[in-house]
Amino acid sequence: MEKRLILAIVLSVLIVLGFQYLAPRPPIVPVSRAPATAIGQALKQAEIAQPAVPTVEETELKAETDNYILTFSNIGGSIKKIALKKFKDSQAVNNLDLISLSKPSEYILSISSNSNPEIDNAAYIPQVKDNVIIYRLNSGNLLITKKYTLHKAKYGIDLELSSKNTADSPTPFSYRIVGGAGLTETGMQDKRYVEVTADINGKALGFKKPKQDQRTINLGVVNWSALKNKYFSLVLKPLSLTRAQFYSEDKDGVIVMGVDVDAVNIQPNSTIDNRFVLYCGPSSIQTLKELNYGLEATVNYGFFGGISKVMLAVMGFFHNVTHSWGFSIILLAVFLNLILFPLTVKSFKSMQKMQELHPQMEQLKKQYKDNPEKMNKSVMELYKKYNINPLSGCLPIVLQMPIFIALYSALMKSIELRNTGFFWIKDLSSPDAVRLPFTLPFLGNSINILPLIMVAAMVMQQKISTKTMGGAVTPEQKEQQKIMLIVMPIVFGFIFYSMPSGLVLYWVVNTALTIVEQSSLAKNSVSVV
Amino acid sequence: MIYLKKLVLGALNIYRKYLSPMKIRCCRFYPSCSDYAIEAIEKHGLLEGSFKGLKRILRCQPFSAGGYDPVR
Repeated sequence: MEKRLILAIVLSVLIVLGFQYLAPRPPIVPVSRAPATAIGQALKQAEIAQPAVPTVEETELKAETDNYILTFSNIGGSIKKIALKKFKDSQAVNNLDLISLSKPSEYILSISSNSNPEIDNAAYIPQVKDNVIIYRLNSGNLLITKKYTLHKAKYGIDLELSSKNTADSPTPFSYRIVGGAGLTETGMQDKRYVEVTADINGKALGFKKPKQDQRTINLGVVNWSALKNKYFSLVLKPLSLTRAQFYSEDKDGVIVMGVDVDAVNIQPNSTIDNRFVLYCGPSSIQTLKELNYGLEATVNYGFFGGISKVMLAVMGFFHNVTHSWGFSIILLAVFLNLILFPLTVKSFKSMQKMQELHPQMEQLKKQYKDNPEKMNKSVMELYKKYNINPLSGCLPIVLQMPIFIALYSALMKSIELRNTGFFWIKDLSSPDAVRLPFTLPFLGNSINILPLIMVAAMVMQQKISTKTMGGAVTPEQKEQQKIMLIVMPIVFGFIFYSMPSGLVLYWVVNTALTIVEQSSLAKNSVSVV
Repeated sequence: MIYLKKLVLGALNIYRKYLSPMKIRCCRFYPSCSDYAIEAIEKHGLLEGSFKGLKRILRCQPFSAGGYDPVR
């Protein structure tokens, strides 16, 4: 027993570690360099870099729509800051800064060129007309016009980029346009959720984050490119490009990505037009759909993503009724249990029929007192003969697993649940950390109560189910059950402790419902077992 | 293929010994689904055995009779 207990505990720790490794969240970005030095380095490089940038005076231009406060810069005629008016920062006070960039080469929708390096970081001349902002640059034999169209209520900004050759001979022109850079993190732990994805040649691909000071380039026709964090996306969609490449790079810890547009020969006095759409906002399927460019494909909930989307839709329906995501999660658990209810009723009826078999069961118990294997087999044969069976089967449990994984990724990343509270829970998408007036070892000065409730409920369920169990239990199995009553709370406590409270809430409700169902079953079968 | 078979059997054995007792007993058959899968893979090889195991899990729900069902 001793040995087995130790083995069981070692194994459960391994399971916990393995789960964290396999769970659909990439590990935290390696902390090989201390944050202090990282900032130091960035500062140094900024100092070195500053004199290299031509001293053009920067003039900013602010534009406001229902959704945004945008800060344009004359340098590159591009966007340096995007604040979202409908989302607040983690303190729920200020508008959320989606991006706030300081280096002109990272500004969103800025262009740079290998063929015409004189346009890099050049100062454009602005012109504002209603919801249209135009930036012009006359540089050598190129006249570049960037026309931004802002929408009042829609997320997304349109850009029309025209390049005119003012020389007498054809000019080759290739350029790179920045689609996303330096998404502001809501918290350090959210860094691991940063994703670089692109649809190239009709295939949505996820890319590894570029290593420091490295650039990766992917050839092919770019349908869209996206830089995402846990809740928000910057998506660049070229509308009229034929050949382009997707690139992403890490510049001093800032991830920059966008599109390299292949060289085109511009004839004298003619113009080449390229159109782009920039989506900057929540990674919400609904708002992305409103643009009608199929950009909802940028939202990815992983392997069971399809199920995730269905569950979010069901929860969205409940939310329309209750206006509370917490109640929606509870209703989802009840709803899924109702779907499985016919199965429960079926086993309930079986239970009642079991009463009739009582004499035969007693007899078998006596007959095979010393041979539990044989007894199990004959009990099962007895069940079959009378076409009853008190157990619900493995399939319902196997079916629950994808549902659970899908719910996990949905709750983890869906913007709808960000900063939504429920009773004492502040945010359903993160643990329900309750502040303590003192500090606990390992846990710090906050404690997650919901996972503890869940573990208590699971222990209760386990106790009831061992009572309810049909068939016979061998002494060995009994021993195992005892071990599990110790090991199970440890394992599940570990796994669930730092999970989103919404997910734990779902599991608490699910367990509670099972307890209710099981104890009503138990009442009907007390005399049998 | 042999290594893959060993890996699958190893995973099933770990499940049966240490994970399965943690959950409520649910299987309607004897031998249980995991025992059945292990036996089927040992008897019929990885491909056919796994297929038989999956079919067994699909049968393991309240609308089937359950009972004694050895690997054939």
